[in-house]
Amino acid sequence: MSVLVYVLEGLCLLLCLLSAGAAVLAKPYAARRLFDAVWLVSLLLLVADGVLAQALPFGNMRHVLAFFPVVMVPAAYYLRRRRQMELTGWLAWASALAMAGALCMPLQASWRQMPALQSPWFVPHVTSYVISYGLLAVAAMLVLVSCVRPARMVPHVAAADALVYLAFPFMTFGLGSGALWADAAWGGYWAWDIKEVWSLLSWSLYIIYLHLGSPRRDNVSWRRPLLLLGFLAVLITFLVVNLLPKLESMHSYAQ
Amino acid sequence: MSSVLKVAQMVLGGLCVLLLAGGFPLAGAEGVYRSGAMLLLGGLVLLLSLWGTFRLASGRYGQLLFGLLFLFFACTGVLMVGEYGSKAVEYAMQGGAMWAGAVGMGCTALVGVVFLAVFGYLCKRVMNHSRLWLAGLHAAIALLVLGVYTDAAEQVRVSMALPADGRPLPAEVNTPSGEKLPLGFRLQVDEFTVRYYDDARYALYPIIQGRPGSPQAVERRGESLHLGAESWDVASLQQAPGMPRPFRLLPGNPPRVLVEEPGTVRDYCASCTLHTDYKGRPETRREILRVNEPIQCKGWLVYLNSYRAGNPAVVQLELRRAPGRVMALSGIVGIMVCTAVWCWSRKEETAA
Repeated sequence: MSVLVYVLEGLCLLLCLLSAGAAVLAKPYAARRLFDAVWLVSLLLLVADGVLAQALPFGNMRHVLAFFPVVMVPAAYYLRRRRQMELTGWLAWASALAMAGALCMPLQASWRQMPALQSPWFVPHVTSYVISYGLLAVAAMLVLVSCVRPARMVPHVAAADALVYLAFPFMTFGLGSGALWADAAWGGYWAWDIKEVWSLLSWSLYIIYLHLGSPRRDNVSWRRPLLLLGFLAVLITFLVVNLLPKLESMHSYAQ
Repeated sequence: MSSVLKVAQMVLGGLCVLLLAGGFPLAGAEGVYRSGAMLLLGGLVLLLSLWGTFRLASGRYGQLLFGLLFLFFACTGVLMVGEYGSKAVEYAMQGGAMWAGAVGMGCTALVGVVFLAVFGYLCKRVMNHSRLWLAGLHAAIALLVLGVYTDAAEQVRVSMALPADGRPLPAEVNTPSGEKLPLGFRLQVDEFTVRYYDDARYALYPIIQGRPGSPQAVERRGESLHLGAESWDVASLQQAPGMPRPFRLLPGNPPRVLVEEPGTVRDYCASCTLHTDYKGRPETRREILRVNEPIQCKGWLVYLNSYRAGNPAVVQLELRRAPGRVMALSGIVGIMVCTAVWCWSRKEETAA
């Protein structure tokens, strides 16, 4: 089963890269179909991880990173159909990054869902954060590209702005559901745990961003550093807080 | 940009700086979060949120008030569905006489569905502009801050260890500040159950002078256990009174004992009896205390935090009285709902 997990992760990464490559080569149809294939493979990966863990596989960083493509593909569909935004290639790049990260993580085949994680909040909490982080990663990538291609600055920042408005409620739900869950599990909705602090910091940075109003040509330059700063805080919340070995956190089971 | 928006950004920026300061160097410095600066910033957030609520809802205060009230009832409906629906499923799975209870709980859950449908619809009708949802979001933030401040001033938390042998909790508890508070109920743990995942490990302990020495890990291959050239059947390990796990005694010099060590804990729960009173009459009820499912009684919440294995096992409980909890949790739910509706409807309105 462990070998199967590695094979599926490798295949998923390859398909993500092919999809992103097809988008770069202006072949949107191929990019979409390849991204659909990513979804199927990532679903198989989710099942394989679930069989290994004997529970819902959202318990460690590798599980969560491997879950990214499962939500990014529907997000691409939604953005295309409802928002008229063709971002398949960008979402494929973000999924490829997540899958590359998952491949670098130890398999931890013996992971078991501890009692505190057996809550109805578990799946919505993790899923909402994965959706928001994925979309915010794409927003940050758009902003970064707008820095090197000034001609595309306004449309790229406008697309990033739309993604923030789409992702922010998921991030809020993740933060709020975490507090409600902690109230039931740990006897308090807030404990100033290091992971909680960084997630509140990320949320506050995006709140500042939302106070900027709609993007216009005259306030675009303000938005870019703020979006990058917000995403940096997201990265620290998600990766650094878990990976730094000396940090003691109530969320340490997620390492 | 209006000057108040700039002030709001500065306050939020200050909050971020304080959060950053407390988040380093490594494990977070709680003193920073409980400092006067943080209290002041929280107060400013409260004032600005209230200002934002009134500014954004200008001329539509009635709509906002009723909208938030309907939202509260709709959320109560969701809570009822979750709470009573899960109990209905739990009772139904027990079967037999519990079916009557399951039907009752199911009907109450259905009332929750009606609540959700009716008040959700009314809320959607009343809150018919995205600015009202944004005003609601600000009101929810203010409610959350108020709840947090109330808890910061009034919350009581007491940790207690209670053996699972029917001994009741004391009638009153000592708070960390030295105050004695009456509980208003008596709780006793009658039985404590632990379930494990099927990933048990095996170890071989030499018995030296009547005490177990350093264990050696034994590998399981199918239905047999292997250590070097030796092997034993898994089925040969037996249960015995006083031994919590299956074992097998291996004679020799020194004698050794092969023990099945517990796997990873899947879950644990405590069957409790709660003695309280209802409208002046004594009442006794059975409760199952689980992780994630605290018991509520007389304004107290009882949490099952941990346990210490033994005979009897000792459960680690936390008792909490938090007067601002409902306000804070309502604020959190309000923030989640209002943010979602505002962000998503705003974009649809823009697109339209």
